[in-house]
Amino acid sequence: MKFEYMNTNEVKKINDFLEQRFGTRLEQYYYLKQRDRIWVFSGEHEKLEKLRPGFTGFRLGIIDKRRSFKPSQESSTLIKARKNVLEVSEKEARNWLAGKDLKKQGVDGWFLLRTKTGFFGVGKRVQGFFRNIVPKRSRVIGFF
Amino acid sequence: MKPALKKLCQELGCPDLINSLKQELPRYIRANQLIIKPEKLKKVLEKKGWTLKKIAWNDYGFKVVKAPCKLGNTLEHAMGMYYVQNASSMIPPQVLNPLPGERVLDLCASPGSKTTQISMLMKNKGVVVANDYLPKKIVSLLRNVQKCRATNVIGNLSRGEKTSFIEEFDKVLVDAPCTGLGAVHKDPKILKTWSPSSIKKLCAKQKKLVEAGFKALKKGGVMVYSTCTLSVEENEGIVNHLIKLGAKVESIKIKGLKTRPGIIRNYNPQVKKTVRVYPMDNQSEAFFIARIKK
Repeated sequence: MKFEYMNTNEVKKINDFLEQRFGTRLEQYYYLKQRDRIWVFSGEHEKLEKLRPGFTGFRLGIIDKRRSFKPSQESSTLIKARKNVLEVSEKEARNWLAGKDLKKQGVDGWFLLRTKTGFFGVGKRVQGFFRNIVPKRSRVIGFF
Repeated sequence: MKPALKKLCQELGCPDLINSLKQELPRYIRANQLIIKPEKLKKVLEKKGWTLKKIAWNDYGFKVVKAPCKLGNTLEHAMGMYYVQNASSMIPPQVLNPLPGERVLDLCASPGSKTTQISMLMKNKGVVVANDYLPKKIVSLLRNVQKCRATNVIGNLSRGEKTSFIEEFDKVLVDAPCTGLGAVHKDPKILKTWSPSSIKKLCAKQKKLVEAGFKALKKGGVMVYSTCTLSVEENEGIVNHLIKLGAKVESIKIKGLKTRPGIIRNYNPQVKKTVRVYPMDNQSEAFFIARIKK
């Protein structure tokens, strides 16, 4: 798995997306890419040639087939969003993490999902409807 | 009981140790300070019917006195606010004492409980190279690293004993694979598979691992060697091997934790500075911890 540091332009594009959508930038990290996956790393500038990395830092998201950025579920805890945050009830959060869709009215686009306690995921509203995008392996069945 | 086990218990001065190992232990969680303050987590969970008691030897571990559900089946767990981790397993990173900005190697990292604790203690500053040798182990490591919001961890796919780092790390953790007597309460089969031959086989691997870890350590750096077993050969025996390579053993004192000194046998007297943690002393898994200085 080849990891490469991203150049300034590529990093800027992701930060522009984060700013436009969530009102925040994540400029304190090193950005790396591995195929379509985007990683942020808060350590030093590592010489990766000496390693056989399976991952480098935190997976922020992927660049999809349409060359647009798609944030990972866990990125909601890292992006300190100032806008487009959707607060839901704990029941709705449990349902989302168990793989169910979410019905919430409003404008379309990416949202960070949270409860009163904290962030738990990322969702994209299309035509007033959040189709579940939690990967099957990450779903939690038998929630309390 | 196997004669070799009986002999071991006698040598350790605890004839009833095996019975203590079999007894069910309380469950523990570690608040993930990268996401939430321990006091806040306690409040959040106690509102939902949990009863938590802070453990005596650190600021972020809790004994679960009462929980209304499985510990891993809550929203807070899914949010990475806490990690289900045995209290003894929190000791090696604590003894390692990684500081923000340092370079740390975790040689046998998966599934990542200690790796994420190290990252938490470093406040995500510095570098943690978390090593393991199977891709599926790296995947489970990544899952926990993501959940805990650790951003300074590199998952390195390599056999620990074959890593070729030379004096690159300020701190190294070798939490070695072992015969696992400390985990008998979770898996009683361990008592059946435990044998002097399995010890011998693992000792060979442990020696190679500590050699690689020691080589990776900078001069003046600190390495922690830990196992969750009781066999003297896998513990003090391995530390004695390191002493022959030029390592110095440092004393370990953790306020609130009851420990017993290492067993000297015919080893270098320095091994007495290592510590043993027994279930009957702290209501937690049996563990062995050594702090080594290069």
